[in-house]
Amino acid sequence: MALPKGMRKPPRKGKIGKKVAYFKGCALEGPARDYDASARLVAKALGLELDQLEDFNCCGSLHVKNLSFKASLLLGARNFSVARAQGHGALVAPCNGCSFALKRAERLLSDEGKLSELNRLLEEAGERPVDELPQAHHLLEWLYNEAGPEEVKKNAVRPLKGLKVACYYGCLYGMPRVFSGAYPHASKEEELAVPYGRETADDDEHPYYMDALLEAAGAETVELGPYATSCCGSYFSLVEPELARSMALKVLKEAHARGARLLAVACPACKLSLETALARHEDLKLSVVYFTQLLALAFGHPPGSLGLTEEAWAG
Amino acid sequence: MRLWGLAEEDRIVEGKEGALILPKTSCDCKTELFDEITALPLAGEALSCDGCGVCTASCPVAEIITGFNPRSFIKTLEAGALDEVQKTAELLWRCVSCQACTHRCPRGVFVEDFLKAAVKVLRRKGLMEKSPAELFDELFTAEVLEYGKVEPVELIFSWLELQGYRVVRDPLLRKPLPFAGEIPPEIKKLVLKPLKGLRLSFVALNAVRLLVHPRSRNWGRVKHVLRKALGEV
Ligand code: SF4
Ligand code: SF4
Repeated sequence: MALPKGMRKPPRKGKIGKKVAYFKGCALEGPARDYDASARLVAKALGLELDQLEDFNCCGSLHVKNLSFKASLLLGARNFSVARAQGHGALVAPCNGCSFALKRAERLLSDEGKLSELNRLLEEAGERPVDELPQAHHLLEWLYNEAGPEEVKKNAVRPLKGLKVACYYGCLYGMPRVFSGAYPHASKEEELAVPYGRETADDDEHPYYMDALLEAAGAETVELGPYATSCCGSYFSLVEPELARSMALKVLKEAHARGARLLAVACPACKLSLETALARHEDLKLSVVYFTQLLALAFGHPPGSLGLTEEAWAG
Repeated sequence: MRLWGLAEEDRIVEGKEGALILPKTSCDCKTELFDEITALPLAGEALSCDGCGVCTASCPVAEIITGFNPRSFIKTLEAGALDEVQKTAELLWRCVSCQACTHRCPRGVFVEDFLKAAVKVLRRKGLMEKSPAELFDELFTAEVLEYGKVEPVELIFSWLELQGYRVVRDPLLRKPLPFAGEIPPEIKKLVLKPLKGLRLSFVALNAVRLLVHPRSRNWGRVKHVLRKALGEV
């Protein structure tokens, strides 16, 4: 459930920065080009700057860490090294898998001695050591904090009137809290006894950043309850399709039952898994779109330029 | 690693006068198996598991697959009864790594990392077959090792090929041809669907990417170090 309006926190401007390193990730370089295009349009309209990391490497997602702890940290460290070389203190990733892997690497490399251990490996590989650990954030966290609902509202020249959208955050956006820094926003600051809570992170059990931005763009958001963060099964969409499908279906059915026309996501892997399940259940009249596509639409960009088909957005 | 500020001494439950606190397992001998698992990175936090079951209550796979139960996996591996461990080994690989268990565990156990560590040890000891999940992790990691980056469409087709689907590749570059051969209908739909909405330039760029695999700079040297790291843990 998205946190009710009265309990939400205002954006923390300036905490991440208007200009950040853009960790595009493998999917956005390829099949999820529409996510990339719309993310850029949205950032630009909001007066923010995504400085693309040209020479990143794969974040390792969940797969590399499952095989080797050290290898997963090496992939993270090399990405941090590239971001530092471009002069950045913050990285932003548009994919839940990437943001999870980067936040995890950031957290684990902050342990005593870990960074110097990995820096030795980087040097052995002929790469620049990381002088200072940059912070990793999800694109959604950045847009909420550095622009926020007010800026979105100002830019929404074509508000998404009458569009019923369910916001799906997915599991790795805020979980686990020890890496994401998500914390209970409704509790008073001084009671916040979460050692790794990060000010700019979303609520730990009731994320609302996407809801807040899309509401500001004029859309009507539909409550997904616990399904907003329950896993879509994407890790298994190829490995164990039956299991992945039943997981994705729970989310889709809930969105459908609550009257949503669109399911907004913030991750290309979630989109893949949900659409694979949808391909077998066309009775669920739903389309899965990136939240940035909807924002760009509200900012006046024609759907065609965003990779949105007519059926996807015109309810 | 310390989580929630729990110090070592807080993990020990002490009996107050008049209170009877039973040990959490039937025997307090930690098995060699459990020692080996908890020695792996992040898995050691499982030593402070008090068996509350929050992980299982949070697990979406437990809801679907009977017998999938992260708390009982931890306790079973801790007790080490072989027939129970065998049952666990058959189910363990179905964890989708969603992190809900780790997120909610009140004792700061990295439950998901523990389960993956358990898979590693059970495999090493020959108590578990190679699972499809491990096979996919290997396929993915091999692509990262080779190029530094992954090409999702190529990955999908390589996986389908491994699963016995007939994937047609062009004779010159050995790249998969998405519309030839036999692929599951929903994957075909998925590949076709975006074509309707996407601008032609998107499609063309994706095709080029499929032909020339993206690669990170200086990867030759990084690969060498990464391969060594992969061989460690
Ligand atoms: S939630 Fe944590 S303490 Fe509770 S049973 Fe699971 S691992 Fe153990
Ligand atoms: S990470 Fe695995 S064990 Fe933990 S909740 Fe998710 S599926 Fe269950």
